[in-house]
Amino acid sequence: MSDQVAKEVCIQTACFFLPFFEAGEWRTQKKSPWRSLKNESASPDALFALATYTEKRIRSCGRCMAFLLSIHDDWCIKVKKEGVWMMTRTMIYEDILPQLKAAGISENEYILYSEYTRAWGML
Amino acid sequence: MSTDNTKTGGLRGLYQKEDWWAVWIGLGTVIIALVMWTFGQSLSPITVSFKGYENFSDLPGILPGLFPGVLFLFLVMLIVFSIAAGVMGRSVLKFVAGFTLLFVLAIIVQILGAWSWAKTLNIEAPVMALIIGLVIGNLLKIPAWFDAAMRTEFYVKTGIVFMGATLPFTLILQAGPITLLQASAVAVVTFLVIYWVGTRILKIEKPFAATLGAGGSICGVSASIAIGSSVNAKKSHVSTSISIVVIWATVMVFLLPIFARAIGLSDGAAGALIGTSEFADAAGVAAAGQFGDGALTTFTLMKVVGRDIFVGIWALILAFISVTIWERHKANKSDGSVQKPSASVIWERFPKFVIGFFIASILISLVVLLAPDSSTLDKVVLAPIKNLRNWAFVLCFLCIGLTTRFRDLAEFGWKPFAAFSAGVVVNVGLGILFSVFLLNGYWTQIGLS
Repeated sequence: MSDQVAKEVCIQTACFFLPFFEAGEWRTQKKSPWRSLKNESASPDALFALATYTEKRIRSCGRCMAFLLSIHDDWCIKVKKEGVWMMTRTMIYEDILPQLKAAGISENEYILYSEYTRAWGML
Repeated sequence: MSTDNTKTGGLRGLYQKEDWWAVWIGLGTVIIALVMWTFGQSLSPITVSFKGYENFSDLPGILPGLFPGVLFLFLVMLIVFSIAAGVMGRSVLKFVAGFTLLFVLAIIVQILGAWSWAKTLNIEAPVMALIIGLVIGNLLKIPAWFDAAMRTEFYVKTGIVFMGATLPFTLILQAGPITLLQASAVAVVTFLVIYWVGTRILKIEKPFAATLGAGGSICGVSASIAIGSSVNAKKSHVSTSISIVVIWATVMVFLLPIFARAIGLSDGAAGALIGTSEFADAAGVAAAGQFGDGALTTFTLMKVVGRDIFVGIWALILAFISVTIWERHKANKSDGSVQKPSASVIWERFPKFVIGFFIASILISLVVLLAPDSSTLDKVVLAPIKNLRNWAFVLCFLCIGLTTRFRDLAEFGWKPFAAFSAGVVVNVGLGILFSVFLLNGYWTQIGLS
């Protein structure tokens, strides 16, 4: 644990969202092909490109999920239509991010949310 | 994959979150009281007041008469809070054991608080509970089963919903604009001071400074947690912020009332000052509770209506700033410490117990307005609710003392403490400026309403 200093005055839920339909476009002010595909731009080629993009995304989700499961075994996993949610309270995100980076998984492959709750009884 | 980390939003939140339980318990009690009033009955059998006495030798003549009421109150509170703890996934057995001991301590506090000597020294129930709690909590090792009943925020939130019933909604509307003006001005300036001192002078990380700033300006620990989550602050940063808030909040429970008494502030102005300058709801209630009902009224207006309800908006704004400004340079780097902001955060972070506070206020105000004869409402409905509110607050004050174990707080360096303390100076200074110099008469009047 990288934060030995911190006593349990709060509990962190590290939550990794592995999106099926985007790859960090929100971060760079761009649009995912799923959001930019309009009536006027729809064509067989655009759909083939979208299929390629989506297959790549789902594979990436799988890779990211497999890696997270390989470094920690206490995850709550939920699959929603937009992607996979992986949450844990037993490993902090500060310890997970360097391992993701070292494994070559870019931040575009996931969206990180951290949620804190006060420890039981805290003021 | 065993840990259940799912967020308790949506419908599950309605029975798994402490905030919602405070609403159900508080509003349920108000509704039951109103129904009983309609049928000529009252909640008074479960209310207990300790009358003042001169010497301990007077107690044998006072206590036996109170015993049935105390026992009934204990059983009702035990059952209601145990159900809540059980549904929220806590060990009911541990809660029952812990709550029983907590309630015994609350009785001792009430007895000592009613002693004329204690009243002479202004050591009434809230301060008595804090002192006893701090001594026990810091000198003795609290067993885990006792910890189970230490629900400081749960008790204070329930008490605040009760508080809503005793505040006419017209008063909330009347005081609203001034409350928002004073609370917002002080909160914004305090946040900016902590953030500026933290980032520009002491060179601490921006998400950390924002978490500290929120703790010092909006609503203490709750804000540190909400903003820490919104900007993906590190756990050590959130822990540090919480620890500093707890230290300063505990200090202010004693300092602000001493200051208010020293300069002879009215109850209303003292409550407004505490509502502006105290950091946590529970600690603020403990400080304002040392004055009369007028102080609790203005404190609640300032803290709950003026500050707490905006935590979601702060969280959204800071999440956007985090993504679009602080972390912009990381757009193409593999850092990953940025989350995607969403407007839904405003509702997610909204302190839900405030809804119960407003509904209770509206409900009672409507009954007063529409009932053909509401002359007995004060005695039959509001007096018992006030009594229950005071018991909820005494439980809360005890928990503050018992859980403020300074040795358990996170260790932190001088920089975050210095940044936060700079905000404390500005926060208290502005609180005094508004409550003592600019709006003293206004808050005094509201306190008397």
